[in-house]
Amino acid sequence: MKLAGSVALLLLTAVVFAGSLSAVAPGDQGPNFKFDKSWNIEDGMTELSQFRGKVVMIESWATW
Amino acid sequence: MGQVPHLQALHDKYNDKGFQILAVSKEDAGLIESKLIKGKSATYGVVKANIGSLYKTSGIPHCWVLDAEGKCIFEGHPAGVTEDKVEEWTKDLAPTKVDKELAKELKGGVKAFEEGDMGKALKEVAAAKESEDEAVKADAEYLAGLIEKHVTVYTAKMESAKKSGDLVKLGKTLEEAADKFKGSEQGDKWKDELKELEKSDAYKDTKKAADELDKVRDKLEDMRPSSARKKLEKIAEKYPDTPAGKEAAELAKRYAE
Repeated sequence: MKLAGSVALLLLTAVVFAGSLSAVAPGDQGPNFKFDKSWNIEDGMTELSQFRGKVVMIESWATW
Repeated sequence: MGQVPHLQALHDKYNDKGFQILAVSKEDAGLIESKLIKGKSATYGVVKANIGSLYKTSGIPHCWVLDAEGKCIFEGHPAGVTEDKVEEWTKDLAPTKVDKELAKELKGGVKAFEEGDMGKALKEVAAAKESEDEAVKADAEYLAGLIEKHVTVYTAKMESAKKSGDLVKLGKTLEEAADKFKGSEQGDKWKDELKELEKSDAYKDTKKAADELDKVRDKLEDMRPSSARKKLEKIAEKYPDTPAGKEAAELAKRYAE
């Protein structure tokens, strides 16, 4: 019983953590972020919000 | 992995029409450069930033597409971003480049247009329209059409801001539009509208809410979720009828346990 309780608590914690920040989905406002460094974009553009007025494709990638 | 080939094709075809790619990686700048920039042919936007906590995903590559207002309109694998979709998304955007060669009489006009100085571009167009040369006149009409698209986009933005009661957005749009069209009749009209708006109490309230939200938003990443939620809820309570108040309430939900 005690064990079952601990497992339930553990599961609950996992669910809470997973749900603490929901993913950005169609219809949501896309959160702003600043660039640490950038290439091939106009000088002076340092954060996402400066691209308002354009359609922006944010592609998450990695070199590996 | 690195380069996704069809991104380059999308960039080549649609960047001039207002489609911006930002390939985001949190990796070391040197690594990013060696993979996409140095000696490689990628000319689309590449950015180093850590967005994992904001744009959550269980696998990469993954992408999100935001419209001109910053609203998400697509989420999924980059391969799902097809030319047809980009065509549809960008068709109502105002072009920022002139996509064909115009008469030399319009050189100054084209330059002003591409620099975003519509007031000056309009003057150059008006002068070129006086030309005896029909070809020059036709080109002037063409450039005037491109400028007109910017008027349409601004007008639509203002209408939607009015409709949703977002007076701050309306103010910002009016300011930006008036600046771009400075020195033209259209620019003066927007400038007057902005002056009127700034006098109203509703605008002042909406602006206060937006300023407070902006301040909190900058610090959200470094806050504990619980204190972020409290700060956001406070703004939502104080300004319930403003767009920033509503946005704060929505954001607070993201930080709810």
